[in-house]
Amino acid sequence: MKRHFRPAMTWLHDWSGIITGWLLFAIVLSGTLSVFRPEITLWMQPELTRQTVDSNQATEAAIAWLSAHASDSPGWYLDTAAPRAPFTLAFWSDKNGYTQRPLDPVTGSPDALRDTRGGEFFYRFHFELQLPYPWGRLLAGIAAMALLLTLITGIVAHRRFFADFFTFRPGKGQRSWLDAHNLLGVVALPFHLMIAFTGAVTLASLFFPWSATALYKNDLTRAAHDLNPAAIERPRSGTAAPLTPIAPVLRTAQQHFGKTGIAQIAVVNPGDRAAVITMTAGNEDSIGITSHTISFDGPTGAILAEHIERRPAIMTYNVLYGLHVARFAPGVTRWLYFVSGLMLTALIGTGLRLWTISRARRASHFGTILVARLNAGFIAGTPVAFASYFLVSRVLPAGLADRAGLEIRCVFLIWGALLVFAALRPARKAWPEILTLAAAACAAVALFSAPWHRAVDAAGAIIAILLAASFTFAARRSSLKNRII
Amino acid sequence: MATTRYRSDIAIRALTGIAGGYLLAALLSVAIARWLPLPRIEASAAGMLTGLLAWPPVMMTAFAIHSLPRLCAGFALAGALLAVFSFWPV
Amino acid sequence: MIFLTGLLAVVLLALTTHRDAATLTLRPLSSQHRLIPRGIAFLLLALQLTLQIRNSDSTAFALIEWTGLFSVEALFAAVICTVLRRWREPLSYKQRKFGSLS
Repeated sequence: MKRHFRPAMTWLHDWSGIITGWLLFAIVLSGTLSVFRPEITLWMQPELTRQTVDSNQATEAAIAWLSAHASDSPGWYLDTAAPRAPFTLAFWSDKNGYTQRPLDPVTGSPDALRDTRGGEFFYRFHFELQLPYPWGRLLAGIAAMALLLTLITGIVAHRRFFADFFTFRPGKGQRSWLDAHNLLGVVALPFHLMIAFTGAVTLASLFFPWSATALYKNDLTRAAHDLNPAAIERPRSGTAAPLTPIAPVLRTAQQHFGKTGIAQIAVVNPGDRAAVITMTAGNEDSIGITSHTISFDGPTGAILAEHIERRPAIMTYNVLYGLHVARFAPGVTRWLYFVSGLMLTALIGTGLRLWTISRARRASHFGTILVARLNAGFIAGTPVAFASYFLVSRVLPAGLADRAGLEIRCVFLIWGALLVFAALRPARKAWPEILTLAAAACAAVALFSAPWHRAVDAAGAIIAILLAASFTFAARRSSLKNRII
Repeated sequence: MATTRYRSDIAIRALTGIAGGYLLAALLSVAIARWLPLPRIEASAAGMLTGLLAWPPVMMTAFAIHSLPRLCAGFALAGALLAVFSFWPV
Repeated sequence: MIFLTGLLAVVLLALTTHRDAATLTLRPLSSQHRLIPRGIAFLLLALQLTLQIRNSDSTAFALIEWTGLFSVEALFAAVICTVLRRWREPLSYKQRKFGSLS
């Protein structure tokens, strides 16, 4: 290992970067898209034309539908309708297993809306990687810690941090790529560090539970109860009892929560005498998640427990979690999360490119060539695969059964095909080809957003056009004759 | 520079930093959770967050200390100390 | 308005940190000359934060938004300075002869 600190940390930065770079690229890009997950769900369901929706009415309709069609489910979990998301997102179990679908705000039924995972695909992929529990989450948690390490070693490796703060010299090959990499890293450094660390925090109970295990031994129910004393868990009694009318319960919760409104509702063991309705307040005035929770007795609607989080250690955890999922973020801040996420994606992409460019001068052996080719596949190919999710959604007929699963399978098929293509093609040729494909895909997304009536369609089209322009520019630059690789 | 010696140097550091570092961070989180005078859930949350923050510097140390024997001895010592704080019956 | 204040501040910062010839004046600035624009820039950033805190219900929200805005402003400033430099510096012989390398 290198004798001195800075070169050693540079070495560590390079290697932890290249080993986890491709995975992190996908995680960060899907995470960035998740910032707008209800908007994406809205985009994918042109049937949802209502702009404003009464949240409580939507919840009542949803509960009514679920009582009629999912009475056997051990639990119903709802994300309530909000201005950003004029539908109720419901999660319940039927004979085929757990399903998550948007429910119409008026009828409470998912039938009039096409079957799609919507923005939830990017959200879930982001921390589960489409792998079975717990492997996807473990991998994502490890990746988050690796990103944190790469960021910190990157800061150490970066000489002239302040002198070169704004430096960008285009048209100079490796120098320019390094300038871009440093610029993207440095200007949004607080975001990058925050999102990496908080990302690890959200999954820490899975890959780093030892402090809780040591204190609670096997009594995890006790730990869960201590974490949120208002999240009551009771076993099924076996005796049937109808659920109390939900409207008065919603009004009571609204009174307690004030302007923050009700964000999430969980009905556990509906239809049983031991049913519990747990409501979580929104994030209008707090960054931390689950800052205010109330549980009601299912059959009677009486309040069982209420908890406002004031314990410093738990508040810290909640705020860190909240900073990552950004439920609190109002308009401008939400867009800032999105833009910063794109910067982190570009940071990883430029870093991966630099790894190849810096090794291009030496004798190229198999490993470097493979990395160079897969770079094209991952960095240019992942946007194509994600864009295709939107396109496939518009192409598949609305009434098709299991559309949701089919949409997702198409994404992975296209992704896999692009990676194979890139592995077999010289990187010099693959880059402009796949980048052009990305530009075309984004342009198509803008086109498919027609007729651009809803705000979400217009905004989506504008972002898609901007991305298409960026990819076109990148494709043209990457096909210049004097390129290094 | 891909000699066997170089490769085994990297391998030992990676193992020490990743697995050893994880172990040290875990022990730190347990020690803090045990000794903080807070209710159990708060102490374990504090321990978990601190342990997470500890891992990157520990991993960096595994590649910063030039002498391998010194590195391994340091990790072993830190591990033993933290283990005492975490598990020695009081 | 708030964004423009911040953008101005960051551009000022950028102009004083530029490593080679200062973007506007084509001469390196002495360390004393750097201090005044930098001071003004920091004051403007503080002003931006104050305005945001007053506009928002929550100081924490405002601080987060201010930090995020800084990143975007800094990116803009870097691009602006690059464009300005390109515009000021005549093309070198090599670039005119061979076209820009990637």
